[in-house]
Amino acid sequence: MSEKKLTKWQFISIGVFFMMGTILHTSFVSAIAGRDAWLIPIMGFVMFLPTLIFCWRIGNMFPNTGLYEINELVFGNIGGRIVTFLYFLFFLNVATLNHVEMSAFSATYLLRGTPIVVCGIMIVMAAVYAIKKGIITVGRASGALVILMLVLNAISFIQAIPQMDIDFTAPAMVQSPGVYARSSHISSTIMYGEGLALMVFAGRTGKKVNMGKSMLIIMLIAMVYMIQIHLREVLLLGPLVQFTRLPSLEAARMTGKSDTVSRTESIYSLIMLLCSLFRVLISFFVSLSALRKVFRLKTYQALVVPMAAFIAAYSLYALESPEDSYFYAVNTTPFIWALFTFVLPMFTLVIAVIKRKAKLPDRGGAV
Amino acid sequence: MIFVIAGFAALTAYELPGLIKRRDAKEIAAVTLITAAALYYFVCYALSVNAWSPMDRLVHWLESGLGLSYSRFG
Repeated sequence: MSEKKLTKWQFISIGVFFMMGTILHTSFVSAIAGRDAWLIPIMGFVMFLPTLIFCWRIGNMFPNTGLYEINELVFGNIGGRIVTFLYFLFFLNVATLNHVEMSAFSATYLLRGTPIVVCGIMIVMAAVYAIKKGIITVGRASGALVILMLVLNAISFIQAIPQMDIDFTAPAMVQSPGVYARSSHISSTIMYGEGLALMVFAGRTGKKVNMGKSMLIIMLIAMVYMIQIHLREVLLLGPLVQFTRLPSLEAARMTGKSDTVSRTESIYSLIMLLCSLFRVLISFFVSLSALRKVFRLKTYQALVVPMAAFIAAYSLYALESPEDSYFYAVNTTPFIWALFTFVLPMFTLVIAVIKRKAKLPDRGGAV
Repeated sequence: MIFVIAGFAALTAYELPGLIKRRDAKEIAAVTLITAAALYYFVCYALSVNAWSPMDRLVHWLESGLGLSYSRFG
């Protein structure tokens, strides 16, 4: 693997591409918030602010240090490995559930009739190839891919404008507060929260990269992207947005003329496929890195294939079906994810601040 | 499914020379552990029997045991 460090913009492009992978998860929010789904990314962003503060503070305290290395610096050798193991379990499940979603999407919409297990294996094989080639190399290529995805997205948005109906957004903000709280919780823990995986890359960034600032830029771009995706779905599908499993793709289908597979739908399928593959890839990689840290291995290369086999196999049983994955994502998963995206980072930050204050008189503030 | 298991076994075996060369006990332990876990799920799938899933158990426990789920609120 190349020893070169990631520049600020390379890191931001990895982050933005990872966040664009939420495109398969828009129904988690739109199923609850309906016509107000386009406002939820803003509320979710506000709920995610404490985790961003964690990224900012911890990034300043430990510049150019990855999340797992920070755990060891804060909690010590054994404690750090325990916390890293918890993150391993979290990111492994993130990778698996994203893999389940992507396999179901491929088997249902793109490769109809193909068994879901075959789609799943193809996805992990693509991930294995990318990781074996070097994740940083993939990360560097993500800059061009992000621009391509944004252009494709803009084209499909412009194509859809004639069919959009602004009245579908009205009346706005008149649902019960519980609806907004629940959908914001889902947005902050699943959509934004999984972005904590990017903190693992901090150790691979150059000296000029400010983690907090970069994460803020990534999340702001992700917020604008998600608003645009949800707005497009609401303006095209109207009340149907609440009952559709993949509103983004259904909205793309509506903009197609009479062909069975329109150009818009093909473009959109490509966007969804690439973005979600990148999300699986990154979460797979960060779980692999966590395992490497836990076992104190020099390299993770020997773990790549067995871990890929595990993810492909575990995704068959992680939850009973892809529909279960959706059901739990809107009901229970936000509570579990909050432990890893809010409670654990806050606990780390508190301990780091306490340790820093305790060491202040002897070491002049250095940790 | 037999082909899938055989394929992954072959790919894992591809890593074997490197593993033997390095003689890193921790690395061998990690690879064995993950491969065994993967095989457990693949064999369960091939035999069409249920497998134990920590994620599935956790969400069920949170939902029915602790009541920590939005489904309670309708």
